[in-house]
Amino acid sequence: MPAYILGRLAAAIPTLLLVSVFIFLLVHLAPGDPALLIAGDNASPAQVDQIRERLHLDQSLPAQFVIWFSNAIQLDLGASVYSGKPVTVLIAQRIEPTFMLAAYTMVLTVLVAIPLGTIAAWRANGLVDRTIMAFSVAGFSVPVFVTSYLLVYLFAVKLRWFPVQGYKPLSDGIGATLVSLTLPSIALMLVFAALIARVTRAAVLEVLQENFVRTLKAKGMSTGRILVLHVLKTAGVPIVTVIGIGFAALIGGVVVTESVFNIPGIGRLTVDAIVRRDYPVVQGIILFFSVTLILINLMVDLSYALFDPRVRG
Amino acid sequence: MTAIMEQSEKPVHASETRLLFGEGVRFLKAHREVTIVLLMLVAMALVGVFAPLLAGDPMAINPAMRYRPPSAEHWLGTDKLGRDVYARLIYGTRNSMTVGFAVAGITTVIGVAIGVYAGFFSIGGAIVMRLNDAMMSIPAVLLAIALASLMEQGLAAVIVAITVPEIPRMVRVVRALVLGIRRQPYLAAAVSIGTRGLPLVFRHVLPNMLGPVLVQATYACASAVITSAVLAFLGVGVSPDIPSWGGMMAAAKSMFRLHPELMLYPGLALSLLVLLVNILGDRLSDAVDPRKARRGIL
Amino acid sequence: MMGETFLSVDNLSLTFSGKAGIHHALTDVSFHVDRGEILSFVGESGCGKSVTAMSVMRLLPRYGVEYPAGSIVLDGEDLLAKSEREMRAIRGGKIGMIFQDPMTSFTPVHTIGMQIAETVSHHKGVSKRVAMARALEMLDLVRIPDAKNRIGAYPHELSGGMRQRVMIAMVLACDPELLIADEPTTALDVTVQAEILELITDLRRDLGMSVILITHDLGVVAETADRVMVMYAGRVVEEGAVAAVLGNPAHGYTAGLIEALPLSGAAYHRQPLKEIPGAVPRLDHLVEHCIYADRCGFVTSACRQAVPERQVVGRNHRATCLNTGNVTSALRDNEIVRAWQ
Repeated sequence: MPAYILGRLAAAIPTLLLVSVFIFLLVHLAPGDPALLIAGDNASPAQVDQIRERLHLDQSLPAQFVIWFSNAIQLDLGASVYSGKPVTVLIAQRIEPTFMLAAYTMVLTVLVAIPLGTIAAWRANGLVDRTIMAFSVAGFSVPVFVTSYLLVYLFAVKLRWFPVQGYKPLSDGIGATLVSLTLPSIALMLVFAALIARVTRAAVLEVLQENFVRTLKAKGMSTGRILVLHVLKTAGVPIVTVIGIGFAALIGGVVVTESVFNIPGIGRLTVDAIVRRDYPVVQGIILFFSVTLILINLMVDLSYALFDPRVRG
Repeated sequence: MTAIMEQSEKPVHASETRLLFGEGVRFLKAHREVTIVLLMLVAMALVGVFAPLLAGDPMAINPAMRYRPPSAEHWLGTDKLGRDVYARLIYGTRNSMTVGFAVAGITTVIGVAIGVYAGFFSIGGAIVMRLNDAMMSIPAVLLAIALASLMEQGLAAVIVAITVPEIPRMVRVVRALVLGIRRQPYLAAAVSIGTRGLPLVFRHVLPNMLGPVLVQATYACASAVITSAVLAFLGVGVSPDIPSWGGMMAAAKSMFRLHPELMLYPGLALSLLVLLVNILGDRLSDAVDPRKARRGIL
Repeated sequence: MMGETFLSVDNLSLTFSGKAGIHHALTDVSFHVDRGEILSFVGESGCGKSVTAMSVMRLLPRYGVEYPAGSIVLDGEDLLAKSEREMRAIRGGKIGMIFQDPMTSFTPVHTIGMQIAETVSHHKGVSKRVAMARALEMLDLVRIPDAKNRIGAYPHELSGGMRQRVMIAMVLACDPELLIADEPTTALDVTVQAEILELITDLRRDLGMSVILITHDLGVVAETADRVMVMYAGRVVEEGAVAAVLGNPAHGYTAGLIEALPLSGAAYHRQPLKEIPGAVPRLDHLVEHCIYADRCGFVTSACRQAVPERQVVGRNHRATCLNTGNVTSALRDNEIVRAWQ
């Protein structure tokens, strides 16, 4: 088991390094002078020179990368061109709402998608299955900002059950936070759950064809126990894998949802930074999200051992 | 030997493309739903192509006619600048369809080329897959947003920005397919009679992965339509004056409570297009993977 | 108690219906299993042996399966009238079933101890600890070496033969009165096969349970069973004590099965293997004549006129055939038949 964990960790490091190179090159290989790009259209030549020097743009590309990367692993992602604040501070300030939104969405998704996917597989090709799958196709066909506005119109404008937008920080109490995040989380969940319900259905369906289900049935086990304790656990690996893959889509969704609901998280920070052409911030955020994604996939890999004794070796 | 032959799928040779076509026709006859979906997509494409015949000028501003309700002149009313909503909706079809098809097409060509390479060359393949994994670790929408904001505004920039994060997924699918095909007896047979290099790829490999690649291309198309709407909605990439469904929704944001319908029309159009493409992809995927979902004894 | 009828199936018919139409999987199947005896079902794949066993367990899918006629009576209770809930107490309780493929018959993600214990808890209503103790006891009973450590093993950590033993342990842990073994040795090595069959006969002797042994291997029948039931195309064609059926085969199909067996010693090289010509008929409609007529070497015109009645051939021996005498005399010189006379 430790060998498995070490192996996974070792595999994540080159990925991390390559991602850093990509993100670095993203800004530096873009057409045009990065200093001009970063300084913006209204900067004076002196300002541009200053930026060029501050960002070491006068040095060779590999040298620049080494500087940038060694700073990055020391959690120094540079400073915002717009506000002058360090990027890490900006991210840290905005992390709470984003984390809460992602976590809340994740919980809702698992609660909705896994039971629905399992039921659909159990009743494969029946009316219940077809209904669930129709909702699922619709779920990831309707873009998250369309669902967001539909939900806002229905539950905030018409029924007034939830606020139209805004975020209540945890310091106001977790209840207030959750209320403020309910609509955005549901909007995000619909997309995410659609994906996970489909994969759950496929994985459970495949396991249901296995011989051991017949054995369990022949032992007199109840359908519920067979589905939850045996089939779902056996199907765990593909389901957890897709939760990891879906997380990438979730991050994209967070950026959009935060703008729709005016939630002051990292997603909003991204959009603001892009509109202001604040490239150190953009670069820092993409790196932050990529590292998050790599860590989540690492956790997914490690969780395989939890589900499947064969992985533990 | 017969057992091995039975396990391998029935191979398709490049000279049998007419056979593939016949199979396609038979597939459509057996799946009425797919035919309907395809016809609707063709209809939407035609709406995009013939937009100038179907609607007036989508860019004409008329400050005196802001937020007008539907009328004989403006079938769906006007927006905050007095522009005709119906015309913008019709012209928006162009934008979404162009991005969807362009991204799907470019992704397929580049993705198949890289994927086939990675599937046939072990060392080069391993390097390509490492890069691929790294690319996939960057959230696709974020990467697209960043790329679009770095390039000059315009449709081409949007297409490139969306295509780049889409390619790794295609590469992964294609490489897995190539590795599968390489294990098939028909490929060993082709190699044993001296078929090598590109002729091998074009005659034996590509025809046998057409189905799954088409499915992946469909999903790439759906994802591109959504991402392009996200970009327009966030105001990245294309000028807000150019009619696009995402842009229309962005423009409707501020007056959403008073005029939710301005949000609804483009939202519905967008959802319909993506839904149609996704249904097409699902049906194709079912047809390509004939493992029928049987119901067990539970 | 020995000799008393425990399971009795009478005139059972079963149809599968689906998009492709109707399929008569079982037609007029009757048999009984006495307490403490081993009855073997023999026939080629698709003849209805497994479907018969699955019907007794009521393990077939609910949709598309119908029983137009017949009854399944276990210990005085009609199983076809039972609800799913009542069946859950019987499955794994009164009737235990083991399957062909021990490699895939366990949940891969739970320990074998857990899988035995959950069965015990369900049927005996005992605590987890007691159930685990019972699991250990059963692993010892089926001669698993080092059972104390093996109880925490996952299925993939055991060999095929070991897994089949564990399967038997799991099924026997709840003291079933009838064990249904569906091709229990087909997937195993020859040496392991013999061990498993010996284990089943030993346990039958020690625990006094009845056994239905499904196999396509007449050799297994000869070594293990008390009585044998030969099935063909969803029907019982011959049935009786093993010595009676193998010593005096009375149905053309049984004759075909015996002749298809490889011979031993010198005879092996003298004669090519005989096979039964033709293929199993489609069962999409019921024929009004002997179902085996088209492949039978003993067929007469009478065979094509009506479905033959079941004939009593000898003591404890019946066959659904019009020409039993011809079959028996034709096989008189067969090496295997001679060995059983």
